[in-house]
Amino acid sequence: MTILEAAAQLRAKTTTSRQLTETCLARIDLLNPRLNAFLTVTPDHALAQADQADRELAAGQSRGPLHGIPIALKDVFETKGIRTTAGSLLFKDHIPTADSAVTEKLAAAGAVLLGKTNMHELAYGVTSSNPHFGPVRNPWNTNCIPGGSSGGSGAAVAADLCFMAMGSDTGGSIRIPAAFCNTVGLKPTYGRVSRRGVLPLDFSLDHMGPLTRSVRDAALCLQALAGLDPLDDTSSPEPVPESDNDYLPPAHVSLAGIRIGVPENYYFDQVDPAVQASVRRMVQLAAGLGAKVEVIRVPDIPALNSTARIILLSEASATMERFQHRRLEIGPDVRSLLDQGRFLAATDYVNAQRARRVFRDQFLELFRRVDVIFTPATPTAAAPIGQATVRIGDLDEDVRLASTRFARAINLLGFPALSMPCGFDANHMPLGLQIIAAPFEERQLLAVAAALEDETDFHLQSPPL
Amino acid sequence: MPNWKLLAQARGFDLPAEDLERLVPVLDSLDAAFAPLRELAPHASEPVTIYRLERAK
Repeated sequence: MTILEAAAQLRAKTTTSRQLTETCLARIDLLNPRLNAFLTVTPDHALAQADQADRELAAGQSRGPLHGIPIALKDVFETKGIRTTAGSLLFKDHIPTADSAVTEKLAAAGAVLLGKTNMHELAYGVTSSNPHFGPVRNPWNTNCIPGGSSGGSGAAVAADLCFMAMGSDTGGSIRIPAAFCNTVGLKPTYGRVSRRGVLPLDFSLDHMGPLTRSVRDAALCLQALAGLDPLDDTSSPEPVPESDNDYLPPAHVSLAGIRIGVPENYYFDQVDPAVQASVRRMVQLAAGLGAKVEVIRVPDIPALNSTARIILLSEASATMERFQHRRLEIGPDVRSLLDQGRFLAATDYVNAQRARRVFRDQFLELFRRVDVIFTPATPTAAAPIGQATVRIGDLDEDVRLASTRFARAINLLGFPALSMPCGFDANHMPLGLQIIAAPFEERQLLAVAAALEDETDFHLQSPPL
Repeated sequence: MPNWKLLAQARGFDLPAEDLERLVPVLDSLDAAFAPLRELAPHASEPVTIYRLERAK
């Protein structure tokens, strides 16, 4: 069931928030031992919030479509009085004294917090094989990674443990688990959703966004989350679309006149044939729905990825410098990344931030010709847990670098992007289509995605649990 | 290519030898990838940084 459907049932009084919450809690009890998607479950808190939502709804006081809907937060969003670990021993006993902006907004929208989801340690990786809290397992094949770093959020949504889970995305960490777990994952424009109260990895690349079971659910969540936060210096004053012009795509979306750019370089050069075929089918589908498909050349994506890596390594190591004396409490893969960042020259960091402007302008120019760009979200489906490399064609690639190479550049740009289900590989593992739009064009991004979702059933398929 | 081991010594990084050994090829590869980008931005292009001031109250 989607948020949209559950909200309709709540309004029709054919269910209650307590019933929805109890169903999710029972499912967590049943499946979390296998998936390890949740680090902390808060049943008492959730049921209290659900009962409050039921009272308010019964009194005709609706807070909007998330009112009474059970959700989860990646364990990087601060929650007052509820442990927030960032998947790290460094924060294993951290009990925040205030909520993050996202926590506040979701609570104000009446959402019911079920708990906090497992993740890659410090949100610094793509496997979500957490060395301290155990690996998150992919509901489609529990021997495989769910992607990361928001792996618990992806697994929880895919396995129907909650209706939505928040993720953070520094180099693909919302879109990659969305692709690997067959959910929708939306990374909004940088500055669209406040970063306040999120344990930081990389202040200039971190984005916050929802993982959901449908595109329209992602739109409903963005509506609740978007907006200026004066307490976050990077928060944008760009007005949030409202009322008849809000983020929620209409029931019937037309793609007539929409210009879709499909890169002829890079994005289809080194990918699993199943990924290539699935994304090409979505392009054909869009064309059949009236979109105008234009073959484009994108700027040098490996250069953008290298620039993003310089910034990420530098900022993450700077942020975590204070924990150097506890480096042995950090898992080996994240420790290695933090060590790498300490070697980089300050001049390289500054030049990377200067290059970022150049790349932004190149992409803004590209978006004068097209409305959205279609690419694969990842070059392959999810790799097995513990496997360091993936084979694509005749090449073995590092799992982290392979999984992020279509997503990372978009964090550097800060443009909005989402991953949506677009098919399955030969092992029936999910694949994702990435759609990228110009800054603050989430409305168009979501409308295009909804039009495709309305014509496909990939998102309706459930994992074999 | 920078001599990362000497750099680690000079900066006083207390890294186990095997960790340092593993870092060298990664840093070499990153340095090689970023080298052509060092002069990408025009001379007057400023870095993307966040620093804002408000009028004192």
